[in-house]
Amino acid sequence: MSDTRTGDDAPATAPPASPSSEPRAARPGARELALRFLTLREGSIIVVTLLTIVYFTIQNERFFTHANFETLLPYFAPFAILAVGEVMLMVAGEIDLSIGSVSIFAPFMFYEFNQAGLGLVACLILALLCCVVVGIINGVLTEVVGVSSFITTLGMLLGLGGLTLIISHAQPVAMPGAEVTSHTVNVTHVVNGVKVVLPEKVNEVGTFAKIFGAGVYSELIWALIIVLGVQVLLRLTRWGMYTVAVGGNKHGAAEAGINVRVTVIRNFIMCSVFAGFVGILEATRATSVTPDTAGASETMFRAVSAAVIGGTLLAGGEGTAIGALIGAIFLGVLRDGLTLEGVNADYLDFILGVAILFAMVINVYVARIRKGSGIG
Amino acid sequence: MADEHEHVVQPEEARASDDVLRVEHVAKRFGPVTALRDINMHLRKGEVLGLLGDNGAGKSTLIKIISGFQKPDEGRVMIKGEETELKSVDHARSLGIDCVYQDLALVNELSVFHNMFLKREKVHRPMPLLANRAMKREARQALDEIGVNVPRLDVPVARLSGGQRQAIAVARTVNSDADVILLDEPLAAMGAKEGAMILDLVARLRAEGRVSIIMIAHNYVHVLQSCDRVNLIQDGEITFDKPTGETSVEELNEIVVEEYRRARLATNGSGGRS
Amino acid sequence: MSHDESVQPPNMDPVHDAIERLEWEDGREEETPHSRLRALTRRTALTGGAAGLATAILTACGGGGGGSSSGTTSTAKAQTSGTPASGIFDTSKKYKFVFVNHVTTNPFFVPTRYGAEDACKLLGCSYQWTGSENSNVNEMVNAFNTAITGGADGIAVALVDAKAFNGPTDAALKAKIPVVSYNADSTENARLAYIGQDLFVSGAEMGKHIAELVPSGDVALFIATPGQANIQPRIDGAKDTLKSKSAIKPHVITTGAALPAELTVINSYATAHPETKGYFAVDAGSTQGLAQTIQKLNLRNKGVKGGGYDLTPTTQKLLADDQIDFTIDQQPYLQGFLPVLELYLYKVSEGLSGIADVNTGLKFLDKTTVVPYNSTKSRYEGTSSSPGVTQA
Repeated sequence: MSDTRTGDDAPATAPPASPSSEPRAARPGARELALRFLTLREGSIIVVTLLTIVYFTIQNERFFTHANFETLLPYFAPFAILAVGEVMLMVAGEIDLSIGSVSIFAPFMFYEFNQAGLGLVACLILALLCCVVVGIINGVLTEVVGVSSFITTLGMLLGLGGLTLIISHAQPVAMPGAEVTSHTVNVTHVVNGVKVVLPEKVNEVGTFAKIFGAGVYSELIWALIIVLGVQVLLRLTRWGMYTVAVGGNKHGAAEAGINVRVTVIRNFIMCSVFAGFVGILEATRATSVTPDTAGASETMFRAVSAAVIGGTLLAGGEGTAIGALIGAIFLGVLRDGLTLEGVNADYLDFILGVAILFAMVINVYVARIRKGSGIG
Repeated sequence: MADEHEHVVQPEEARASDDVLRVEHVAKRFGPVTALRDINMHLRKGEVLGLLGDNGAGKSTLIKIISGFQKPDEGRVMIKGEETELKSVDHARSLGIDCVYQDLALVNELSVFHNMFLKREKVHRPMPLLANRAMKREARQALDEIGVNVPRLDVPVARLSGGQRQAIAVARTVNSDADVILLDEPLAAMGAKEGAMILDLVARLRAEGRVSIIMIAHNYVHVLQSCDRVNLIQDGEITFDKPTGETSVEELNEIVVEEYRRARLATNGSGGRS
Repeated sequence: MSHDESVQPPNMDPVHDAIERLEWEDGREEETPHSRLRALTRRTALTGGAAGLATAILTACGGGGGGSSSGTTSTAKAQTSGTPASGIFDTSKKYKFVFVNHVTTNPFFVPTRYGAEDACKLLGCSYQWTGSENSNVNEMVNAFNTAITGGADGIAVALVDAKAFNGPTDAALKAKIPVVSYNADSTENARLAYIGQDLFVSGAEMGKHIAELVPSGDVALFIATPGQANIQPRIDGAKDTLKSKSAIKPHVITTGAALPAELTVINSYATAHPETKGYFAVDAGSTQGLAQTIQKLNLRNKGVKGGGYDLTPTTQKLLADDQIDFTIDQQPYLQGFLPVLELYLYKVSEGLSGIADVNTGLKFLDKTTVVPYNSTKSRYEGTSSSPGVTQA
């Protein structure tokens, strides 16, 4: 009666031949390791991104430089944060189209609170609280009233964008706390063998601005913290597990006793707060808040693309925050690399489109290998 | 209407020490549809009760009320002799009642051991992080104890066969220290071999005597083989209650066919009862 | 020729001066049929002729190709004769310039790109057209920074925000990369020069035109995106002039950045306010929109006046059909051509020369002077990609 075959044929309820028959893996060889790596959900996008980086390094000697690394950061760091917010929602089977509007709404609220006389940190907290409200509205309309999240967040995208235009009278304003002060220092240059002392302008920003967007590594550090936080949340906490359950089997999750509403609304709140935070970071970096509603949808598309390219399914149930970060890096590297090479705006979109399709095709193939190999 | 049937089961004299579950005069409506009219049934400790009935007779609704997923419009549920209002699935579970639904309530993308502990997870206190290794170990133990053979616990549950999935779902309820386990059509969509394995599992649980089981099924042979007692629901009421030893497949067949004939005559408008 | 001191770049200033002075005088002159025709031919000749002039000088120095004279042929020759610039300027470097734009795919800037292209061909350089498609300032800043990292030889940026580009401009200048602004300007920015329309003055002039056309009554002023640095000053200028004309009541309406939406907004306004005597706008999209609205609602029959900025094909046609009274041309071709020239000269002279603010003009066109625009296709207006001016 004892049957130690593995896989679908295994008799479900026969008493096992030996207690605790978990197969011990032999020491993995290099090939086995490579296969295991590739079959990580994030494996394929990591490979594609590395190949892209290698390509650009070869094409242009200025690509793999420290200066370009610093330039590269704002091409992907904000989108990585936006993307992991979306990951949490997409895994639960929903989506948030309004993040573009939230990311221009929050800095305006920051400005308004500052105008009312509040300190910078207080403004930051209050602006993020406004985003919490937005997330609650999105969540309640989707889960309690029952409107599909696509429509709810579409309405929010337009409505909130319009609201921002109204509050701001469509005028850009200076971002409080981000003012650049400059002072001149005397710098010694050697020109043709002669020492010349010339005054040079040095620009400085306040500490708040340095931490929240204006510092060179500020956006990168925030992105890393948030991505790691969400990855841990998704894999190692009940919040994450319930999110996967709701996305994979909503009815079953409810039958198992999971509070579906709370789970989903929580994720809507998280997504909106991240979007607002990114908006404030970017506004601080640019030292100005622009009511750019035209670009709001573009921002959202980039974030969702980063999430999907990174391995999170639009259908729900599966997702990875680290993958979203890599996806954002991939897209950022493409954009920065192509711009560095001198590609014109018209060609940029075309090449980006082709590159994204290519990356996704590879993703799909590798995913098939992963499902077929029985690992993970 | 109660008079149409020859006999409707009425609540027996309460034998509190034996009954782990009693349902008295429970009714449930969904808008114009009456799912349960006047249900009276009971379950003794250590018993396996088979619940038969046609589709739409109200079996699933009754199960959902007992498991706390829905609330009855009328009547009362008594657990271990105490009248209880079940507020939610969690509440019912905390009182020892657990259910394995037809769709199993398994999440395909989660691993076997995560599914085993769904909504009953273990965490590393004080941090809210899942104690994956502990859960995996306990899941292995639990599955070994009830004789369920699943070679790898960290694969997504989607990879398992129908029989293995059902077994996991049952093991989940056993593992969570349930006293009353409700099985909603555990053998639906299963071949003979796997069905036999599930029945073996039920037999083992019955032999151990730790849990009491209500099992909904369609196949009279299976029911007579694995259950101690049989109830039949017709039209929102329990119309038959006998120990399996005192009845047979033929008798059950006869009752059901009677009902069908009666219904057909009624709709043909030929009035009167036979 | 020895390297450093003795290289004298030929004096391009007369050409700049000529264009500038002539255009300004044009704008101020009393309009007569004679003056209009002269304005047009001179303009075409000069913009073609600036290149022709340069070629003349270059060929005299042994660069290549035939003689001088009229605009068309010499421009073509400039393109085919390789890079005579290297002969004059004693440099074999192919400079790379980067144009950072806020609406990279907007057709208004097509002549600008042609201008940059032509100047690059003339001087043996290349340019990159990048930035943001929908006025996203952060994207533009990213592109700007990439240009610095990528070692661009010069950057031309449309300063659509008063503050966001200041840091990057300082960084570029520190890295010895010259920065000029075109089409939109901000005086807070450390850019070396601005090539474009004097926005406030153009608005003020439009205000004068409005006062002449509509002596009293309600007047609608449409603006696509208020606060944006390349159009807000225009409406400020107009309002400033109209302040002193108390009989005129201006109403400012925002139309939005997308053309179809602009049309809807203007349409609804016109339907809701039949008492409006004049419809005016400060950007290309709104101007086209109001011209189309006036035509659709037959407002000319009620004596309604209209006017605005820029020359989309529809605006041109409707102006010729007398649906509006004027439009203002800001010569987008020069906004691409001249920045390249200035950045090139700056690099070649190692910072000693090349930089000058240029007002690309304030040219009011009416239904007669716009006719040649409709009947010709030219690279300088963006309606044809081949050089020269041909019959439409």
